[in-house]
Amino acid sequence: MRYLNYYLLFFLSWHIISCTPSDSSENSSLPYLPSRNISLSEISAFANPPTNWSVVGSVYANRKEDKAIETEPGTGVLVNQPRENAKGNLFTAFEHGDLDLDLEFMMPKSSNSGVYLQGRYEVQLFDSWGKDNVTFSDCGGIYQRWKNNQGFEGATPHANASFAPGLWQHLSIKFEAPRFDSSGKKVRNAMFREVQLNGIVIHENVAVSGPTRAAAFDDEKPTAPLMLQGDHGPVAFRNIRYKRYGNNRIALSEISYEHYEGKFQSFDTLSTLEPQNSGSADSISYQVVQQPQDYALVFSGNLSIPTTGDYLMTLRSAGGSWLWIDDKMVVDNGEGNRVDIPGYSNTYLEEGEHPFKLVFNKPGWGWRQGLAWEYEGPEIPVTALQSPGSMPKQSPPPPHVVEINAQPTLQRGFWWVDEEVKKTHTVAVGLPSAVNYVYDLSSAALLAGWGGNFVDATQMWHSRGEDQSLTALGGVVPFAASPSFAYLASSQAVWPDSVDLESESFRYAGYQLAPDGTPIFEYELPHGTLRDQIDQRVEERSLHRTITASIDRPISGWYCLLAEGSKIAYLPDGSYTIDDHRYYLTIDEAEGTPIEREKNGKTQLLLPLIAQNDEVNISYTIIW
Amino acid sequence: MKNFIFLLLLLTPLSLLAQSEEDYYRIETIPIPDSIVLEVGGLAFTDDNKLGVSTRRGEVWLLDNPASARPTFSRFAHGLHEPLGLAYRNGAFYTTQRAEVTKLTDTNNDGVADRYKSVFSWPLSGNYHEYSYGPLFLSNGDMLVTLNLAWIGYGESPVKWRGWLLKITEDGNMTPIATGLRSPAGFGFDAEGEVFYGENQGDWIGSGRITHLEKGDFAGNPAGLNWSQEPNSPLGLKREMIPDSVGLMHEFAKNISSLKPPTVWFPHTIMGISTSDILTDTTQGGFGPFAGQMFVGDQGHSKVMRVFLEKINGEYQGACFPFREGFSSGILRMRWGSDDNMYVGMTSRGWASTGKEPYGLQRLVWTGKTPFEIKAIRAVANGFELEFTQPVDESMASQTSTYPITNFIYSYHRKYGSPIINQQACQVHSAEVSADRTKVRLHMDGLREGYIHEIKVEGLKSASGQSLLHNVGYYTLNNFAEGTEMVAPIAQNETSEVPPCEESEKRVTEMPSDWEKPDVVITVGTEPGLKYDLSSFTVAEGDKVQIVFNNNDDMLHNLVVTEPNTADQVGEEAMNLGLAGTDRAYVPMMDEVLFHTCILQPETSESIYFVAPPAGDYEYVCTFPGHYKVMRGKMLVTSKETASR
Repeated sequence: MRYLNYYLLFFLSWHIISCTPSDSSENSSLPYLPSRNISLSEISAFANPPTNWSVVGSVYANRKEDKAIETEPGTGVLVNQPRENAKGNLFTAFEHGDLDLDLEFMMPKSSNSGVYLQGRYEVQLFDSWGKDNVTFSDCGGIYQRWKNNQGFEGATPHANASFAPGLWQHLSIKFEAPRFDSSGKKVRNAMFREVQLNGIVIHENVAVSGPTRAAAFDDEKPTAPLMLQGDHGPVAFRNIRYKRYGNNRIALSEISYEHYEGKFQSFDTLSTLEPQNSGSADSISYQVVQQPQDYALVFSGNLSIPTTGDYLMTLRSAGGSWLWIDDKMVVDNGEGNRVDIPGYSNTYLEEGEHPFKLVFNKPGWGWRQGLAWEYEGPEIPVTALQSPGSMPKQSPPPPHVVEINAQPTLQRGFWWVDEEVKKTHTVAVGLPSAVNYVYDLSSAALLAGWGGNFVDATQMWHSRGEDQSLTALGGVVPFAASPSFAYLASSQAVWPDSVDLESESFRYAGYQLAPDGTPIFEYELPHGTLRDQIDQRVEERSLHRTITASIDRPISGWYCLLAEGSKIAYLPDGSYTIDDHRYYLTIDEAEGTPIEREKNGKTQLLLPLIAQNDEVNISYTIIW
Repeated sequence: MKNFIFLLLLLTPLSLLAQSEEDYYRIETIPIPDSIVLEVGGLAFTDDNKLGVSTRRGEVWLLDNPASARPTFSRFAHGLHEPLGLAYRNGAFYTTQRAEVTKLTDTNNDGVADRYKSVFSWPLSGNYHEYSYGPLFLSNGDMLVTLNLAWIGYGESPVKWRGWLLKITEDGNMTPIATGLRSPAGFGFDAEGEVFYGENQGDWIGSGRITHLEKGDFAGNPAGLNWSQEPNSPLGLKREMIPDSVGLMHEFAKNISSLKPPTVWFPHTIMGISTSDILTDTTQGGFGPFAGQMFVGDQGHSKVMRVFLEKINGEYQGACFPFREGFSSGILRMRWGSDDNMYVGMTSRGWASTGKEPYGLQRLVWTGKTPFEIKAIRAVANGFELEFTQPVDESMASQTSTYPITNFIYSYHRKYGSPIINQQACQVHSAEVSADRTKVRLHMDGLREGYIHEIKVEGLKSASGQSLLHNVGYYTLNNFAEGTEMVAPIAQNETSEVPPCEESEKRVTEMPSDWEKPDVVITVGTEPGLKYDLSSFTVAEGDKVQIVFNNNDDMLHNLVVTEPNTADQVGEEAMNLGLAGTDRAYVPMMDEVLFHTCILQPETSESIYFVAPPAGDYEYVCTFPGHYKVMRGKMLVTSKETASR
């Protein structure tokens, strides 16, 4: 039995083949409906925008200069540059109740802003970079309320997940508006179901009893515009996406079921057979059958579609499943047998009644149970149509946290670079200053870094440890997954994506621990030995990499890959931002001239390995 | 009066006083500090008698004064990826992690390793089952390493060199030596310095065993043959040459020169269930009367067994015997201390063992008393010669009825494990006791080449009246001794199909026709670590019950419903079934057994139907030998009135 981590559920759900669509629907390549983009080609998405707000093409915020922000003309980035006589807040033209919001923001040094849900409930945006102890007024905090000159409530983020000023940061909010009864009296508080900053969950299920300090309104309403704060300091936003939700839901009615005994390959023969049992059901659930396997179950009934639009229908089942609406097959999950891998499809449905048929085929795997039918619709969140008992819950195993110590802590384990690539010769290193990185020993690649706690080894040390991978306990910033060193026959040759372990020209030799415990990784080249040391030299969250090579004869054609990403920008102070302001890189020491080149849609920053007196010395710093 | 009592005691036959293994070999537990999770992967003594322990949490601990009652622990290294072996040479530790052999050196003498040299790395596919073991040093300073197969519902070798034994030099040059390995968790040398490895029951492997490995050998599981065409491979055998169901491995080996049959089979559940480390007695008498023989550990049954080896026709074969059980967790490693004690390192995370501790470190100490044991079994012309540790009672020893002998074999096929097949009794015609009465030579009929011979010794006492401590040995007769003529006809690929379990009133697998439908359906599955995923369920008396048992583990299991408070009894009886166990799914014939499933292969399922008995707290248990202590649950039957439906 594969021990499925509940959280892998959504990673695995990317590998789905979309299914047979009905005529008027689109294939969905993702198991959720697309969000709506706030178009930043111009400012019209916002109501009466004050003049401190504008749409630009790109921004640069010097991370060393307070509240500095510069812009280039164009579209795609929303920027706030308040002045004495112009520092208004920005409101969206639309209003919202429940909302899923996803955006990127860039904080200049020492700046301050905020995202106010319904113009009332603030998630603070702040330059909290490097702060050890954060409060509600730090980046990602849910701001406090204010009454009679006193502050109260407010929620501290679980961790300081913020990045350095001048870098794009990712904020993701799931918000529920207050609920009111028919007389307009509030019956439930506004709620932040989840807030994530740079991939780290910083809030879960935080209720807010009323508008927070400096809200635009002091009352509470079912819907209201979204507000971005403009009077405290400069800030930039991009990729603002949202999903608004209302009260409409699909209703099921006249549900009946037929239970066919036996092992079936598919549904086609069912129409020729007599069901073992049939009747009416009060809900959709595999439990109506009362046996673990060897049956097919057919549900029929009516869907009441509340409003016309695109509906994403998803089936997850411990067996094959298919869905028809209006006699057209809408979801083909016939190959499905695991509840963590859904089958789904987008269907356009008119408001009104639609007959449906759902077939669930269970020819085996009696130890896996579950049938879920979920949908997402126009302003309708992902909602289950099956009864709660139809999808058994899995509880996650207890954590195995590897702690940081007074000396660097190392832990080898497998590492998922992204959802698809698992590296096996990797080591995670946690520095005493709570800056951590992961390194691929086979290719000398500095894969990623993160601040905060070190790693969780549950996937290695719980029971058999069926994944054997480490999980970072902080917001991960990926660096470059490609090998750091390569021989290129020409400056345009393709950079290799891995190093053969049997290679004669670049071989991992092990690592030496320096007196303070820092690992120095060593590699044998045909001409000598290369040493790679990564530590932290300055107080800011950063990694300093020193590469030295002692070689016994001149080398040419060898390069070091400093960075790789979508965009590399050279900044006035001589440093770079990599991957469009995802992290900073400063070259501290190098003999050669860095080369920027584009290959296969990626930009790379290379340095030739050049020796002086038989020694190559390269060092650079990554800051985030 | 005192004299009278003294005389009386003197006359009491020793056999009336129950003896146990503990009288001869004492287990001592080495206390481990609470903060250290010492899941032992490797054990190695240093030159100054410290004990190095590598753990599955990636650490290497050093024990000062390991022979004392309370050694001190200091951490030497950390951050490794599941190092399942440890060796010490010339001032450095060597360990095999999942991805490489690492040499650990403390260059500045501060007690902590600061140099982690990568001696040799290999690729991994990222599968959890790709364990890597060793290293073991050859006398010339080269190292041996074994690599486990990946598990993807069956064993596979997706990357080089899973399923292989490799030799690696200090400079990192690698030579592949042999393949056909599946789960080679333990390997070691015999008294001649030849390499043997322990294999675990699994796909292609009918039962656990140890096999002598030489360059170019193929030990049975074909997955490693994926790499037999590599330029440095010592054998050219291709995977396609092995059909899915072969039958008699010994016969097949006559056509495939690289196939090396097992040296000594360890019949499954009788002689362990997961063969681990191999340790030859080099104490020259310091550990008792078995100098030069081999000890073999078992992870699942928390015990150590013993092996006698000899060479017939230039090939190794021999017998295995029970030796010492009762260790605290699953045995993975054994090493000699300079005190001639056997240090035993253990872990059971992920694979529960008879000893219930999650991990442990113990030492086995000879008390100085010699047990009365079958010391050796040698193949001789037309029979066997048994050697005992003490002179035997001549009259009992010369009776042929003292020696019930049967032989049997396992089938060589792709499926997971095998029942015993082709079992037959041998006829012992005479038993000659040697002049010094330490040996008995048996002349017999029915010997079969390539078969495992179970040699029992019933009722024999030593000349001083002691009973045998263990009275059975299993001899793998790969070759007849010269001069053997009275042999049983060779069964030409005579293999019987796995006998399906019988339907009976205790095992009804189709819903009775007079049931409309079951009143209650209970689904029980398995969890890793020898557990059912349901620890109890409730039904009402008289309910028509269907239990669906799903074996979603990678081992064999069953489900047996028993009378209240009898699961232990039933489990123990199942262990005592011996060879007969495989014929009846390890379900003993007892009234205490109410209902049961068959033994299920991994990833298969079976339903049984029964009517719930009168109210009471019944139990259900897996009676596969070794599992019953942890793999169980309760079936609570309520009376009809209290049932709510």
